[in-house]
Amino acid sequence: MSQPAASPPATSDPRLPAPWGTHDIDAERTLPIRLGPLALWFRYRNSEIWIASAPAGDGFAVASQPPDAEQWVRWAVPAGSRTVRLVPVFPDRPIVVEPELSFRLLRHADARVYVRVTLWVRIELGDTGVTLLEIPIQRMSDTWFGGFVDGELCYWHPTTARREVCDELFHPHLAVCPLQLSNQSSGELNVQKIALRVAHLSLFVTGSGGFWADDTRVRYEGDELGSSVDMSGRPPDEAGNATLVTRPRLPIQRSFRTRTFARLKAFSGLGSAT
Amino acid sequence: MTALAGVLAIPLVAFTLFAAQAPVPAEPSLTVMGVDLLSPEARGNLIRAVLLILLGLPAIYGASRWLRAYVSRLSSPQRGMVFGKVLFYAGSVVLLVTVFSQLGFSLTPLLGAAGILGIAIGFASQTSVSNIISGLFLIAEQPFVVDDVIQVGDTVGRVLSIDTLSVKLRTFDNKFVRIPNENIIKNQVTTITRFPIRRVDLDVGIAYKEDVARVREVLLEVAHANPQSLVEPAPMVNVIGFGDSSVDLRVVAWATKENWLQLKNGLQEEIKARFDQEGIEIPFPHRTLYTGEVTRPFPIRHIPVETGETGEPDDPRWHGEPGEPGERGEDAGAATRGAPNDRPHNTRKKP
Repeated sequence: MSQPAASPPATSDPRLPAPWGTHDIDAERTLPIRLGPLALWFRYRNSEIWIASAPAGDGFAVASQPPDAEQWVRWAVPAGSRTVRLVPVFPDRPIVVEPELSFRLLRHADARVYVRVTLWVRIELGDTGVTLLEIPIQRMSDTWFGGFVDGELCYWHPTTARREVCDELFHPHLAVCPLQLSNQSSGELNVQKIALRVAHLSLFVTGSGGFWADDTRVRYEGDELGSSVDMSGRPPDEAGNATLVTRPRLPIQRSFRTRTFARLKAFSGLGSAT
Repeated sequence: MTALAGVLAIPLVAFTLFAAQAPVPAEPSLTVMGVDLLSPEARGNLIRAVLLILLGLPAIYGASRWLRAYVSRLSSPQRGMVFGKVLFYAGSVVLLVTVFSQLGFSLTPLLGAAGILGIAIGFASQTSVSNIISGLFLIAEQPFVVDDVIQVGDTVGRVLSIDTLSVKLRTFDNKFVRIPNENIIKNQVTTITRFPIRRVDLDVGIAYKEDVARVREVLLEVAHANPQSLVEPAPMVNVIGFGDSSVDLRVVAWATKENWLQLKNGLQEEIKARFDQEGIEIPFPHRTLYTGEVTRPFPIRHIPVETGETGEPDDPRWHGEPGEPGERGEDAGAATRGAPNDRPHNTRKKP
């Protein structure tokens, strides 16, 4: 029976709130770390770094050993390299989010929406910066966005899209993505799902430890034209003087035309499938 | 017959052409198409030509392999294959022309001979030519590409290559299958991995006594809980009919083409486990026997097993011996009435 242990604070990198940042792995004992709903364990043995992960339980503390010994993954590292760095990154695929309640955006109207996205943890070898592993902090379901022939595989995130910033928004494993929606079409826009292309987003952190994404403007111009998306590459005004933590996975395209909104009618054809 | 005529025609035409061009030798020599093959100069040319072939062919082959790998990495395996083949065939033609030039042969009579030979070969190899033309159509139309999984007739496999004469497949039990291009063009081909997502259809029968709405809810829960099942397109459960023994439902779920098989297998196991947990019956086939409206229902009598009346197969009544109830020739009702065992008799009313 393993004894619970609290997550130790990060040893350096003051920009990042604990438990993000750099950690030394003691050769004598396993290092457990909790990141929201994810538990991580680190071990250093014979010039190898061992890493295990599992969903964390309900309590705050993390067991001192992973529940299953087969969860360990090993990396042979240069002798003496026993520090790892935990870096927050956005998921590797777009995320489809659904607003708390679907709302309609009248023509020529704007709305600002805040969407929370669960981050991934990138585990780097501390002194080289080499990425050992990337793990989703919370497993998200897969979903399909777009047509049967040319759509794209996304993650489904049952988070709600809020209309205002509040303290509840911020957690160490969540990033807030501000979206400025603008309906420039001739009809009203029924916003039921939004595809967030997070691979193009940067991640910023505020002094209080809140994570923010770029300020993004989405301009809807009708079914035929789709949406044009502008990513500023800068933190939003609400984030104050937030600093950059990670760059986008893919180069920022300042403006690209893409499918961003999904309406239920787009999938209504599935009802006839037998 | 046509093939044989073609094969015989080739050396005949070739000999005629070469003999017509050969001058009458004044000295001992071997002259072909105006070239004295025994002269020192010709011997030197011959050595150079052989060297060209020995070095050129591997070089062309190696270059085409490299180009195929390079383009495959940059673009797609299909494009890599096409680029590699184009380089190989073009290089081979250039090499052939160079070798003939080195030997001092004029290409003009060769081209003339090729025309005549072409007719003869064409008759002899209609099938091959048809396959070549079909191959060109396959490459141009691209109903599938290298690495796709296709089904042709009963054969399902992954495309290894689309060649001049045939398409090569690797089946999932690791057999190598060669399908002539002509067959592919003429028959229906299903490209299983063409689109990024695929649907899993599972037919599930439940007993008539079950609440269909509740079962539908359970099935949807199972489908949603499977990590390979896509949230959208959303899983569905449809009632597809009333079977002989069951209400037949169809569970429809979607997965990426890579996860399709995993979802299909996983869902079936999970549905069985969940039905066991929820006490939902998957019925076995039922049969109801009756003798018509005017007859009374079959009387069924339970006979307890006693010593000497074991009901074992050596009990004569098991075999319906003459004189015993169940004898052949009696009506079915009588046979049932005389049945000495108490095996379960399932009846149900059809809805």
